Amino acid sequence: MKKFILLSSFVILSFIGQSQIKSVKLQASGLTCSMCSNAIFKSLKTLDFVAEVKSDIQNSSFIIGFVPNSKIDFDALEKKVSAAGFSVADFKVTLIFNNLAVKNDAHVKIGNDYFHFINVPNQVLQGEKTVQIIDKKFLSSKQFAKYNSYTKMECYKTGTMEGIGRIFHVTI
Amino acid sequence: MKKIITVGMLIIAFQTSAQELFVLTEPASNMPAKTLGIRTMHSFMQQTVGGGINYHLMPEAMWGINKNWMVHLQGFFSNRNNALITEGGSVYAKYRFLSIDEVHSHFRMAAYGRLSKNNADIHQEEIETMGHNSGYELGMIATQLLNKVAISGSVSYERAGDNKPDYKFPVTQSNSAFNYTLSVGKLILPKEYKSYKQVNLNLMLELLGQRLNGNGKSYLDIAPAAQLIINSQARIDLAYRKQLYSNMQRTATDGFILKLEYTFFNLF
Repeated sequence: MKKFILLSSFVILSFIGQSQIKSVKLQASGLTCSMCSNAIFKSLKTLDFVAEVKSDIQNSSFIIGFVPNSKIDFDALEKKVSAAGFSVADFKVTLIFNNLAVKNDAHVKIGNDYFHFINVPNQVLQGEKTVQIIDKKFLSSKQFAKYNSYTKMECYKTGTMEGIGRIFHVTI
Repeated sequence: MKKIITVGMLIIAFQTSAQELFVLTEPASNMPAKTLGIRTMHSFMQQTVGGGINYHLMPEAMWGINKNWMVHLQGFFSNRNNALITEGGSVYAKYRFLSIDEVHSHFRMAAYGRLSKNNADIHQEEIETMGHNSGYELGMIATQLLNKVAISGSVSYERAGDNKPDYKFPVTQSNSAFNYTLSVGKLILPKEYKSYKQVNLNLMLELLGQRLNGNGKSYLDIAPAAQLIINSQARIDLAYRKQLYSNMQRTATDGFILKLEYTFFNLF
């Protein structure tokens, strides 16, 4: 029954939340030089849903734009950084919201993805907003431990939930 | 003693202000996955007796299998018998087993192994499976990157065998050695990154030592180097290697090493 309510709420929310992912800004860790940055830059560009990558070598950060109407895979972006030999230190997603109600420590569907908002006040999101993905491998292990104290839900540790699959944990 | 102090001071000078793509040693970091590096190494070493130049050409292909594993294939050619002839080759594999990444810094550790074949005459007590001896080497590397400075150290066990088909390893010589290296490097230019097109200049200093297990004989070499990275994809390295001390017989100790390298990202 619980599952049914949860699933129904996702269905309802998916209608309300016609939000769009605009871009991703990620910062990589473990590097300084431009050759390392170039390895990440070239690695990110191989993904078919990535339209453009702008890099800031000095800060090891990358702004990623997407092919319109493509299926954006945050995990694939993280894997490309790690395949290049480095880690993700910070991963921010800019979205355009259309009156999306979010509650602290609760799940919501945005587009095709499920999100779990952590350490946020209950609010209605409207217009362009940036959220930070705080899942394991999307930030430093120290920060991961910090956010772990804000939720009792097991999905934060695994990044998945039975019946749904992948859930991205975010904060604002 | 004076030399040791000078070396110590140089290391401290470097530490205060690198980069880890060293000329004579490998860092604990690997190449990116699915990336191919092609490299040629040219060494021009002065013979300790006779004063001629030993030229060794070592072309190498490096392949990043995944984020933790990489392999190298290397060929050995030299002019020791006047004409440039093929002497052998080696297979090298490196496994990165520890990575602690932070923004602009990392600490990494890796284990590696090299297996070499060589058919050249065995003409020195020094054991070098890169271009001189058939045999193997097993080692560990630790590398710390902190902003523009990298420091890396390695230890390894190296074992030489017969250089088949014609040359047996001399029974009077030690056939195994303990090697140790310490490398520091610093990114000098650019001061501030604006694009991948900017030429990078790295300055490096490497210490390379060996102790023969059989008789305790040892050497220590120093190698300052300059490196240019072009287009964030190609490397030109120039190092000068010089013997600081040695009580073992070596044929060619001092000289220049030139390395040219090109990286093909995301080939497959």
